[in-house]
Amino acid sequence: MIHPAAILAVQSHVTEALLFYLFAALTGISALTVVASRNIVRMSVALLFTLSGVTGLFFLLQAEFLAAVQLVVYVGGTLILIVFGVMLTSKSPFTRFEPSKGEVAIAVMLAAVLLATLVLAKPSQLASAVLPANAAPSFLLDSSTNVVRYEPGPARLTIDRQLAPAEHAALLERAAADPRLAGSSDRQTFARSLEQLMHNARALPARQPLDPDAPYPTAGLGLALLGDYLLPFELASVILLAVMIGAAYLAKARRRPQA
Amino acid sequence: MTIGLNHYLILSAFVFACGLLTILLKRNAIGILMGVELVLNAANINLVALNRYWHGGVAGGTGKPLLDGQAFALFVIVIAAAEAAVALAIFLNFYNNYSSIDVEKATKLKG
Repeated sequence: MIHPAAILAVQSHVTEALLFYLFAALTGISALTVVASRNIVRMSVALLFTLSGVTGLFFLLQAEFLAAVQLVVYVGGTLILIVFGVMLTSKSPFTRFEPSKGEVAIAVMLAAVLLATLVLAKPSQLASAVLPANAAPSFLLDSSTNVVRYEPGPARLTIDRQLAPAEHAALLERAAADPRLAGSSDRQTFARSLEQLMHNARALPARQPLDPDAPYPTAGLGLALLGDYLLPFELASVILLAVMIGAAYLAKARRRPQA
Repeated sequence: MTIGLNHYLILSAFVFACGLLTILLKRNAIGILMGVELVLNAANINLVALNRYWHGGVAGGTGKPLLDGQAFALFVIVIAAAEAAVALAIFLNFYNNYSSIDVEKATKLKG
């Protein structure tokens, strides 16, 4: 009999995955359309969908406030500005400028190399170590956080973050109390594999991931903006003022010189 | 099936590559601006995803949420809006002077 909460957890995982692939496809395909389209109006519409897809991703990442800001400022502000620019600067909306074949080849090569580098350089999120064959998996599995994962088959212990010293000590204590690790040599082997695991996990994040049931800390974001980030916050307001004056001055209507 | 950090990083890398290609390939100045917006969005996806998955949620023991990545993303959005406003003002001036928005025409400073 499976616990109903477990079914719910699986369903929410599936929903999250489906939504991620939906928004990722929206973002990726429309970003590709921005590159491929030669029509500036189509490009701006594709950019609209890219920005909306990123908004969805922000919602999935539990950054609701940021998603709202993205929707209001980016989609509702910056994109409208760009569309105004398109309207003001094109004699015909279908004007086209074609890059040469050589330029296309060099640019595509550069982008492909960069993409391959970024994808291959992504950080590994798991560390693992081989356990002695008779190490009991049951006491290693912490189902509440699912941080320590035991894989059957070759006895291998995998974690996705660093273990705190207290957690390390607790695991050693439980190993010492476990009758299945009877011999002292077994216990030593287990301690050594745990040391190896801690060593392998040095580059992993030290903190626990966000608790999905915790209330969303929008208040924390506000406090951060008026606390740790007060200076950048004020600087941003000064920049916005300067930009407003500068843009109004630069875009002041002038008579076109008779060329 | 579980979505992790790497999914977001790969998507962000793809959007970044698209933005770079747009910057390199378009000769319409506003098209180049759109490429810059794509690059900034890729950076924002990275910042928020790393804040969620890598940086972690709660500082050790204090219960205080850590939202550095989201704060940075917020500033990136603000700067992007400012940058778009100034860039468009410059493009309007350019269009007024050259009657074209093709960046290849801006060769006055060429030696």
